[in-house]
Amino acid sequence: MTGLLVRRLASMVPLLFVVSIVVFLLVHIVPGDPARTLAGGEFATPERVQLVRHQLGLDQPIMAQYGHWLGNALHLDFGKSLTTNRSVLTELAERLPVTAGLVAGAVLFAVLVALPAGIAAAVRQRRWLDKVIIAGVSLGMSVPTFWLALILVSVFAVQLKLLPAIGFVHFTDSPVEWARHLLLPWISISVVMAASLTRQLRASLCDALEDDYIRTARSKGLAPAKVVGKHALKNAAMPAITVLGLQIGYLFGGAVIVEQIFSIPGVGSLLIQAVINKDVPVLQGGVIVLALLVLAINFAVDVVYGYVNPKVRVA
Amino acid sequence: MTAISLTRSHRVRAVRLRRIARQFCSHRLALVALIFLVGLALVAVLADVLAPFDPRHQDYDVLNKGPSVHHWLGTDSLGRDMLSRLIHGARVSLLSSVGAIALTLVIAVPLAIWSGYAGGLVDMVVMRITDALQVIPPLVLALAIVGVLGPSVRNIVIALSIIFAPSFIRLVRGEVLAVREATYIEASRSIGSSPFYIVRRRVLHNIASPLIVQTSVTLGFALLAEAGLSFIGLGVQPPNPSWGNMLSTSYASIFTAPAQIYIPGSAIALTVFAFNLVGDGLRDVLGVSSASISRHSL
Amino acid sequence: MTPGSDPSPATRLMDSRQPVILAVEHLSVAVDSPDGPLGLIDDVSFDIRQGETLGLVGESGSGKTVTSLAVIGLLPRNVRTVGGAVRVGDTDLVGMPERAMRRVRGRDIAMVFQEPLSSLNPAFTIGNQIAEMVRAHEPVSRRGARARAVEMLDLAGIPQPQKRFHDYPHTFSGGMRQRAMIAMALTCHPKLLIADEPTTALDVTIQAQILELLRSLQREFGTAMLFVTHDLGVVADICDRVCVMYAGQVVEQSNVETLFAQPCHPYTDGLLRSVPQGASSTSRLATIPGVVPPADQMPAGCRFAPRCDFAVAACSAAAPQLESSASGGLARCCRQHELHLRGAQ
Repeated sequence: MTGLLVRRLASMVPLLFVVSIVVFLLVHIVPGDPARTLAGGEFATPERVQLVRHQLGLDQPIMAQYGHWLGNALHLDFGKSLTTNRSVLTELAERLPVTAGLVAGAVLFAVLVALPAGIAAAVRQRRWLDKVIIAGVSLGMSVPTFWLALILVSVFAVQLKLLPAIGFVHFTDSPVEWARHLLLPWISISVVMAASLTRQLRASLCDALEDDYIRTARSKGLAPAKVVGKHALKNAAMPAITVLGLQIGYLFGGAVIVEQIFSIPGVGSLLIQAVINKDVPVLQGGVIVLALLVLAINFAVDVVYGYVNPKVRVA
Repeated sequence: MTAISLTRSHRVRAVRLRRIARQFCSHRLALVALIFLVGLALVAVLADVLAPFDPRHQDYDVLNKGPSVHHWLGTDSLGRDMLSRLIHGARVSLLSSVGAIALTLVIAVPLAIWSGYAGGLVDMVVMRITDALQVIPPLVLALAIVGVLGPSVRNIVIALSIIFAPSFIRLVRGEVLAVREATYIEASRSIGSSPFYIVRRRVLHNIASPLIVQTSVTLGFALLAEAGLSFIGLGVQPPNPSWGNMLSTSYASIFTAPAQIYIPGSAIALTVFAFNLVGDGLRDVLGVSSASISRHSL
Repeated sequence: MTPGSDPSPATRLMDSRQPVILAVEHLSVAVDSPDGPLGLIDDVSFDIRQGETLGLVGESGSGKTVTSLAVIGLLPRNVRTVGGAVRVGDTDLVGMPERAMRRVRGRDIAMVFQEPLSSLNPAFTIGNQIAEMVRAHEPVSRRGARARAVEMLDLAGIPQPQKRFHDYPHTFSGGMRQRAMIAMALTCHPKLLIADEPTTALDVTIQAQILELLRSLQREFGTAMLFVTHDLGVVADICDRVCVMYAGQVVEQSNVETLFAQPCHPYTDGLLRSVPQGASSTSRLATIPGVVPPADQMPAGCRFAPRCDFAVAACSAAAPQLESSASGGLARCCRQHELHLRGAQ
């Protein structure tokens, strides 16, 4: 299995390479003169445009620019923010654990909801509980994450005053407050993933329960909880885990907007600020970091999948 | 193909279409959803006629008021009629999602066919770029693109078509690869038809069903994405209404008018729900397996 | 193919003095269909005594698998027992609540299935699946269960049982997998083992080994066996008595030697004649023309009449009952005493 994982890691390198090219080229797909746009468009004085151009190294040939940028990037130097003039790396390093905590919590929530829901729906197939869960899944996948966040704030923070509407407390300062401030964001982000995980789990459980080894398990006189919860579930978990890996990128999308709504100082809200301020280095650094995070999570998913599916290990 | 076999295949196709239509109609929920969407499209087209007020007109006497006889859905914090803004917002939201998907199809389908058929370096480059695009979280990528291009509806459409392109490219290219290996290509070639023409026809025939389903589902998420980007302020600029920026305005008044966020929010959720239901109905009717459709979410 | 190749014929003679382990009485099973319940098996009765092997023989569609599933209570969702009784000891399993049935399964009755690859869970080790069987029925520690599992693997003839305990099913060969399944089924020393075509999916050479394994384990534990198969060669090899089924009914029941020497039902006769005789390649393989009638199209009279060489008008008029046959068993044929069937000779 280690061989498989090493190969997985190795295949991510060229991918990161292409990602870096795409991110780098972002600036250059702008029609017209990127330096002028970034300097403020029609309001920019020629001196300012020239300054920006030189600052961003846009006066050099493009390959040289990329080489220069890539060289710096490999030393983890993403330049300085155009707005705060702080090192991009420092900003990202501060905010990465925040976003990681947000995303991890949301995934955990999604799994905690999807497991019982998916099992209940599959076991009570076609009865009213199953229909309710299927309807819930369809709704859950249609609700915009950010709207759900607004509703939760409106109900729990504004009206019931149970939870804070904005703000963030570091885990190291107070774990309880950390969780309290992240509770509503976690719920809003997790709903969509919970819905699609439930749908997938239900489908693959229904399939697994038709398999021959379930009949064998029953013939051994095992309790239904064991038959479903051990035998069927482990097999049904495989496609569900795959879905989790595939959809993690979309989870980040929700996370970014939620960070903005709740004023959580993560990579997402930094990115939004960078977009509004046209802070290119931060934008580039932020996108790369998030892509890295996605790759890291996909890798973790592969590891879990390898544990659950023994046939993969030999491959 | 002889004239007789041509007419027969046309007739067969017509019968098949009728059967599909009939099956779809028996899917009550999907049918209701489709009717809703058609109605919404009509509303969007006739926005100028249907909206009781100018969506940008501000009436300072009725700030943040609830539903009343004059304003069926109330007003927002600048005294603008919610219903009129909702109706005009429908136009923007539908146009951007449909536009984005249309652009995606126009770019992705020919690109995928070319890439799959040509193989070699072209294919490798296209696939590498597609992989990279799928690693970057989609909304983040859209954010970056719109951020660089500038906030506007046109740029949102461009950004969305780029983020949704990879899954369509994958779908079509997969079919091209499968068809390319088929033995009847050799047979057709021996008759003298151009193999590329055959591949193109076969591919389009085979992918029609999964492509339709994927389009329907992705439309829903294009809408969500546009709303999300507008919510942050990167889409339709105020005072022009879009469901996304309406949500943002309403949220600003969350203390004074807490129920206001439900109006644009429900509109978004219902429309996406409708797209999903239609997509599910189409999937059942066209017999497409869910494995061949990539699911998006935001 | 010579019947009676069992090395200890004495065991067979002792059969009638052994206690009855399983008594199936007038069992009928039906499937739910849009037009109402359709009969799958009708009025099936047989006994199995301790240490005895009863063969349940028939083509696909004969109802033999349904019968075996009905005995252990694992009928599919829309299939139900609609009449009769299945007695183990004094208890009737038909209509028993599921919780009580779970105590019977694995402990009193165990089952081995046809496809060892799909019948074993690919996500768990062989050892895990055997050990869980022990712990489900006996208060054993994890280590104790593991030791039992290794012991069973060893008894089943699997080399290096301690090592193979930790292996997954897909790393075993077909024959080894079936050995593991048999080991698993016999772990709790059940009184009855139901084997549903356990050798059909295996190579011929492996088949013989598995049959030998079943015989030796049967001797060791004194287990009775219900052996479901369509292969008469296997029947000759391992069965003491045979029940021939056709279209959901028992059409003949007899000792295995008598069945081969003196069949009393035309269907049995046809089956015997359609088995290849080995050496001769010049004579054509006899077949029974026609197909088994589907459940919703059962003929009114004798169900085999449409395909029977000896059918007369009376056969289609009234359904024949199971009566004592000339060979000492039972046969369901109104002409059985007139016919002199020669079987395979």
